[in-house]
Amino acid sequence: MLPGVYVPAFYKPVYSENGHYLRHEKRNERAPDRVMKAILPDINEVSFPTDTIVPFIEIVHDRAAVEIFRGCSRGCRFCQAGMIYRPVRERTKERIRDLAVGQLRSSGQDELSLLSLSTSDHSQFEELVTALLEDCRKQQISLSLPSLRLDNFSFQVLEEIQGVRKSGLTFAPEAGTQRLRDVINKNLTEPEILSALDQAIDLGWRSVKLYFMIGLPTETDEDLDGIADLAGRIMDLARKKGEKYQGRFNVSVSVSNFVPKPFTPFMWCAQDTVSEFDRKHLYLKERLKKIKGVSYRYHDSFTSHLETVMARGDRKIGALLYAAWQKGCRFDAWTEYFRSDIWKSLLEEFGIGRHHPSVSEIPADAGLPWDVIDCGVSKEFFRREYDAALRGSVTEDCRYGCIDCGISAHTCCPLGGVY
Amino acid sequence: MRYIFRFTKTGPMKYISHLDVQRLFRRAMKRMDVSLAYSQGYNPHPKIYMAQPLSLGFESESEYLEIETEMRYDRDALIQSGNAALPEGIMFTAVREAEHAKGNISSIVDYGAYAIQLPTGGSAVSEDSFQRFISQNKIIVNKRIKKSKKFVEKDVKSLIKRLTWKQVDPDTLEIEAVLRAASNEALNPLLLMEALCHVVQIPFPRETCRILRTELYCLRDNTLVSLLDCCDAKKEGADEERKQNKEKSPISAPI
Repeated sequence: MLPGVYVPAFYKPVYSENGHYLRHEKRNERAPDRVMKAILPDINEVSFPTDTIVPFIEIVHDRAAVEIFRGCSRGCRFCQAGMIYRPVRERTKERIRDLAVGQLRSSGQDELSLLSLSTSDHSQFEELVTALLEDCRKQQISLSLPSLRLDNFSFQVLEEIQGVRKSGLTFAPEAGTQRLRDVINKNLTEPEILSALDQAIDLGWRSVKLYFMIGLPTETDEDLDGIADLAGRIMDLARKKGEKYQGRFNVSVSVSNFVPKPFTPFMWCAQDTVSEFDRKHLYLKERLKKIKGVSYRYHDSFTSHLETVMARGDRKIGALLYAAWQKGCRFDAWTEYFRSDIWKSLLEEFGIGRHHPSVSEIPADAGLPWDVIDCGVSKEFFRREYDAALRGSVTEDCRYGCIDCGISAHTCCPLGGVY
Repeated sequence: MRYIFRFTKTGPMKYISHLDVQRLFRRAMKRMDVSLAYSQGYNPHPKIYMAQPLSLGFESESEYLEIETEMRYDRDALIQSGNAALPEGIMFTAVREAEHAKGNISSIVDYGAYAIQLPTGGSAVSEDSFQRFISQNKIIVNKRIKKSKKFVEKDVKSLIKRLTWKQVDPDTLEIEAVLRAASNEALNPLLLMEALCHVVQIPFPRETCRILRTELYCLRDNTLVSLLDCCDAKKEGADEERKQNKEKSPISAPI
């Protein structure tokens, strides 16, 4: 049996009387009980494209791009990518440079971007960026570094690559209070944000974007107040410093709706109902409109609800998708094509209401539709992390000590506990 | 160093817009390992210019590109490495070192020559009706203003240097036109074809009309000189000369 390949026909789901998923039954004795994801232990060894397709017409992400590492050691509890791409596997500085130079030479692109879940976390980050900056300067190539941690070195680099016309500065505190940030294990503190902004304003940035999620487990209206408070404190800081540069400052608050996802510590969590999301959006709108210089955007509640139905639903969701397609749903991510009326009537038809397991709290001992897949991180770890979240207890970045997520039972985890 | 390239744009590449072609050349120069000179300033741009934008959907035998480089390159090597780096349909056919005094190549182009295949939908177009078209006192086209998106009527007779035609078969008119194509004033052949169809009373085949640009010229001593032969000898006073010539712009008699 080829590892990492899931053949749905080899497994038959068993449902309860009310149609809820219970477990899978194996229908082929040679199939594994659970399908383990395939893991590439060393990403330096595999080929990475240097002769890329270069479209004649401008596209999104129209640049050379090199993945610098896979996986993430931070352990944010809502994040699926941070869990399923474990363990962290880095490309060496030399290999990254070779790939970057090769891609630029064969494509002729004038922009290079580094890809990963958290760019600054590469263990040779400073040497790597210093070397790449040197290469890029010589050839008039611009370097873009997404998802930087804003420390001194990053600001130095940003100064160098951005010059006078600053692109946006974005923070993702994800939650408005320290309590809730601890729940989700997002280790970014308010003093860190404020001191980074202090520096950013001095260096000439005049706007900042803040990303938050609402509907996170244990969230109360106090946490929403925290979002407004943080935005307000940033504006206060900017106003205080404003005398120096005599300009306007703009904070843009962007709120998305929490979608619980499989293979995360929050995979058992209920999602807020559409009406609860709507209430919170308006609650925040009232709070934020009082603060001058703050703009506010939020995601549509119903699409987030649908996302959860699809993220956590069982096999029967396939029929729902097909039915929606048959009724004419296309390009649903484009709001002008989104047919919420069709989707709403189909959800009703399929009996997916607010108590459906895909959107409500799932008991700890219940079978999960995705149990047939083994992502390498153990279910025990996810449960442990969920319990820690409910206690408001944080788990450290696992580079500072292995946290026993289970991945090292399957492969070597080279960066676990290195510091 | 400044170089002028002549290049073709044919086949499916006709669907690649002017701006995308500019980006395409920027990438090609990087692949050729040519060090372009960059503008000074906060946002340095490579010094790369095109003579005259070619409308989307037109093909061309003779487009022109000017680059400024940091160092001298062998011209044959430029053509060779260029054609290795360029996609099918865009091909360098000549290169010259450019020595015109000021401005870039887009400032010296005056006229474009076009070979047009105009489907007539089976109706024969008489000599008389064509004659009637070109002997009008005013040749009016319907030009859309970019900003307001409104159509305005414009007399373009003075922008037509030459216009000849021949009916090759009952379905097709072959038209050759030399039209003004300067940076500040140009006549799109498609507009002229629309006006022609209106006067000779055939439906305008906007989608099937094939247009090939055959050359870009600058005007010297009232003679059309290929842009390739102009770029090395722009003399003082040439601007004056052009201004005077512009006013004449006679339409030659049809064949």
